[in-house]
Amino acid sequence: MMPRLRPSWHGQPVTGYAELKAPGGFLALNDDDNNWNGTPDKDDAPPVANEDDLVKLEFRLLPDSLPVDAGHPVSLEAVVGGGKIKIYHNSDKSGTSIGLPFAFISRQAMSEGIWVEGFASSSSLGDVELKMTYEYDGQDVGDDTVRLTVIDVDITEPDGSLDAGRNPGSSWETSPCYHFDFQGITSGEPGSYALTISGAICPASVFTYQWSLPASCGTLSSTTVPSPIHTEPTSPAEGILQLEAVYSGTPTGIVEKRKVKIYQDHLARDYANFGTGGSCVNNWKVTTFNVNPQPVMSNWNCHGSTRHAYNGTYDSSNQGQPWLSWDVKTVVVTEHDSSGNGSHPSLGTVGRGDVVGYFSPSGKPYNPPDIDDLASWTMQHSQTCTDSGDETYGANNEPKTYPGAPGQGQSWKWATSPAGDWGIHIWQPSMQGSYVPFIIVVFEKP
Amino acid sequence: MKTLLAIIAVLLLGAILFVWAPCCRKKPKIPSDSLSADQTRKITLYRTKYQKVPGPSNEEVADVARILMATDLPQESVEQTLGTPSSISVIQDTKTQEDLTCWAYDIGDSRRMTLCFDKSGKLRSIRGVGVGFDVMTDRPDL
Repeated sequence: MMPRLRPSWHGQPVTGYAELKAPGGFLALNDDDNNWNGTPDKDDAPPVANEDDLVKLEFRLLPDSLPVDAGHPVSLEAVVGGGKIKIYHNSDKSGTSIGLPFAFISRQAMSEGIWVEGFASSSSLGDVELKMTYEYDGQDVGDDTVRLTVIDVDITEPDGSLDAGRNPGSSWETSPCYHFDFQGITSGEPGSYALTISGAICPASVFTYQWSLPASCGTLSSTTVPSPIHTEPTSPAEGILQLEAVYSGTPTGIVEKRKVKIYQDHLARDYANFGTGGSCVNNWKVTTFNVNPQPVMSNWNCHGSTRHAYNGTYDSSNQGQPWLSWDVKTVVVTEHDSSGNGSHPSLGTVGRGDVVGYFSPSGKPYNPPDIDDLASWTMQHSQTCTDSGDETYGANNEPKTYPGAPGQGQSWKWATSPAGDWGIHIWQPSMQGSYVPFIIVVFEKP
Repeated sequence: MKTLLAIIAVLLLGAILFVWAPCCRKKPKIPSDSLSADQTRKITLYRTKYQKVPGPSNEEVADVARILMATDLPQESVEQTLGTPSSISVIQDTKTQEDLTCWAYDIGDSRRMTLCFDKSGKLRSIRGVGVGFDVMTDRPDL
């Protein structure tokens, strides 16, 4: 009786030659970055931490009584397409790689199997063929083959992921609205936007697309096209965006994923991205979400950050900002003493997205101020309320230091500070009526 | 003999001075030498309003920036023209990777103009925030 070789794939024994031929095994091109070092894993020197893309090939030789040793080897060779794969002893590519042809000379080694890495994408279905041969007394007494297809599934946009150990610099949008490409905001917010989603699968002629996204993260115009149109949801959410290659209507299991997040508003996203304590000038860098290389930003001031936190546009001017035409909640005037201790009447209840503006009277009456003079006042600072008590957020938002002359005492850092406190340490009696006292106005976000 | 030696020494010293002195008589490029009357007027106006209320307008700041970029003033003359900067930092040009020494002038609250010089003291770019322009550079191709 002819001994029977039975390779197995994904742990399932393969018992028939025809089943191997079409479609055979699917294997992912190992071009992701499981160890977060910025190099595609297929180009990494082993071992590769967190590697999860290699697939185990297991082999059996029946009957079990047949010997496997130097005189009775089970050999493995690549009949075609050997350049599209690499073979390793371990799933993390550790140890020496296995060149083909290769021979098992013990059942123990054979039972441990081998790990196959997709090194170059296939150009057609099953264009990698591996053949096993069992020799008994120099005779080929049994062989079997398995065909593999190396599939390249790429989500090209978004390029980054909320949970990535390293996000590429390309995941950062370098013009307004500044954000990572895996970040959205809810619909209904000023300047809301959809995620840009696009993918590619190779070989394109063989496979079709299957996208999935949790409904909480929005909807896709189609789940089977390369670039579906996303519609943002009404509520904050986060979830996995997935692209899978499908063969003849059957999922292949070869997927790529991105974790996306939909923020409540631009403010929430900016707070997550820019944080507090870092500089907002001198080629400051975005350091969050493990982005590497870190994007370099141009100088930001309070007005620019407040505008960006409102609608995602950037304008550093102290004039023409949208909040200057919003409803006014509160108008108060600061008081200062010679020691730089200041105070201001209560601003009342401030809500998320409300903007607090600090104005110099610039020669107009200030006791009491007339809100109709708003256009004549000089807006010196602005900040956005976060809805966490009286907390505000923004660039250059640390209260000025005493004595706080115009242009002096600023930290130029991203900071939170209590609403109304930015200008209370100022003591400039010679500038009474022009620079001070600051008129603090709370503008209500529409 | 002593007289002759003295004359020779004087002649030698004179010859040395004749050769050496002109190269050392180079006057620094001070603004009065380098700027037109209109440019001087615009800079003076800016200086008058610097860190005052109201401060210089965006256009007045831009005028000064354009003058500085156009006149190629050396670093010491820029300081003479604008005064002591609010802060100094060294940053790396993101495209050329060269270190730039940047002088920040806090014109007013939330308004800043930053002048960045290369190692030779040449003004390479001016970055603005809250003053109506983001950057002026001598290398627009970068």
